[in-house]
Amino acid sequence: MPQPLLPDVWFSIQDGALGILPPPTDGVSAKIGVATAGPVNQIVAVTNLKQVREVFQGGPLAEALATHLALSGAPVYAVRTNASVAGTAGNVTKTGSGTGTMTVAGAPLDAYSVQIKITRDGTNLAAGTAAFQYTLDGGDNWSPEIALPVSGTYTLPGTGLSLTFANGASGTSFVKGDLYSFTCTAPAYTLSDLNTSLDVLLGDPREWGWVHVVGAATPTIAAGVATRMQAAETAYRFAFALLEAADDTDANLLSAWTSFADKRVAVAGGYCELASPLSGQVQKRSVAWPASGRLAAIPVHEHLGRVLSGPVQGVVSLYRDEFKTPGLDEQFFITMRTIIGRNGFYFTRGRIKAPAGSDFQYIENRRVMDRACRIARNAALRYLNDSVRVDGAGNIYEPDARAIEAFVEGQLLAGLVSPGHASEVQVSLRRDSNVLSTRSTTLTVRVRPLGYLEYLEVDIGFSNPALEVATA
Amino acid sequence: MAKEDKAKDETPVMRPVEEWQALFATPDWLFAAAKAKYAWPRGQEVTESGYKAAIKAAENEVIR
Repeated sequence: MPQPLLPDVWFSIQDGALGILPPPTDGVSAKIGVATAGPVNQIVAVTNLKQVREVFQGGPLAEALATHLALSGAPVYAVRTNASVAGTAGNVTKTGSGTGTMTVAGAPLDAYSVQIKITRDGTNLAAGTAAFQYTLDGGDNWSPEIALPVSGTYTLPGTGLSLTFANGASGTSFVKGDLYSFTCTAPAYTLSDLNTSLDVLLGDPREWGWVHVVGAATPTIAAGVATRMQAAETAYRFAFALLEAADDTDANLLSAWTSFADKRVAVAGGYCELASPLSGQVQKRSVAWPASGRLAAIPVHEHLGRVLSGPVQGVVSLYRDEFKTPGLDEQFFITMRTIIGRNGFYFTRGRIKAPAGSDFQYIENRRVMDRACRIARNAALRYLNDSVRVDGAGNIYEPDARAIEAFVEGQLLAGLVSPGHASEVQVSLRRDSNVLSTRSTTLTVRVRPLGYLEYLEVDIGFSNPALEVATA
Repeated sequence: MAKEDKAKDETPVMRPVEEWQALFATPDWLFAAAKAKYAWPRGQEVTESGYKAAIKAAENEVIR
């Protein structure tokens, strides 16, 4: 309010004294992947399953979003990437005595393990007596019985696949118990496609804590993503990427990923059977899927494997159990495990594929530091280009230095220590920097994180009070 | 002698990958991906066609 011309009382309303923190965005994540429908390379803020069905319909991205919502209920940003590599259906194998055949056509919309089981005999198609059931998840869930069409052609709903049955040359074409099987790979995308989607995500002002790249990545992909995340950090985007390692043996994974390390890339190793909240099917998915959901459901400081938080919902079984075959966790992969005495499945640890010795080899450290960076930057920005008083040496005047420290520390205490994300914070402003000459100084922030009880030795034995007294 | 000179001219030029990156303005993320894919150490010398093929392969690396 400008000073009035005539004598009067006027106001200069101050802002920022309440120290209101920026909204926490570290529980919000993003996903990039292939979907059946939806706008390509646009950010869609997803909050519920209905929206997933309506916008993305199906495919790995839609399924990953559904899993995320089911596990956390937290909003998530989704970017449907360009699927420049079509999905493929593998060769059909058949067991049984029927003389008929079945072929598959079309481009699958997701990865499936398809089985078609003949449930009623049919001499030929024209007889119209044969029937079948199908499963898309390797036999976990079967369709109702379906009459084999006289035309011989049947479209598997929502898969992009069509089946064509043909009569045998002689004998009964379709016999109860005949089983046709094939597997499909999901549509895929390239590093170039991913980079375009990352451009969209990183170019948007909305903040998020991590991006889950849906689909099996290689160290080549990881190296490209790591460079993007490092560049994002220089633009004050404090986040990490969550990648899925291929479904491969431990030996192959360890060999392939041995040279890769980065402080902003987490890699999940191992697969699980995961119940789909969209379709009800149980599909083989990377443990990155439940990891992303669990991360969104827990505070930034929480250990991904915290037993008190309970087993991971939706996981039906593990293809790889770190407890039974250890090896990937110590090489900084996120893995899942069983725990003797507990039902269900847990994460071993939240791992970042950081170099050995790095503070950021644990996701909880990564998330706490990222939150600290956001808060400290926001607090320090308040003083950018502000004037301070200086002493005879040109150094900042002590009360001004203390005021800055108090504000930044207050913000960090409110955003980190009070909610229980860290044990302590310390802020100090350099006093011996000649501000008159350099117009700059240094603010040092130190965060004391929480400790985690990863190893608990229980020293147990009997005691005899009488002997104890005698000894004393 | 002329034949030898011609053969010499046709010998593909080898340059460190970092020079090719600067010459073709390859984005850092793509260069890092190619470096990882082919395990290039710093200063690895390759031909222009070798460099371009490696970059193309990295760009088309599939996520499935």
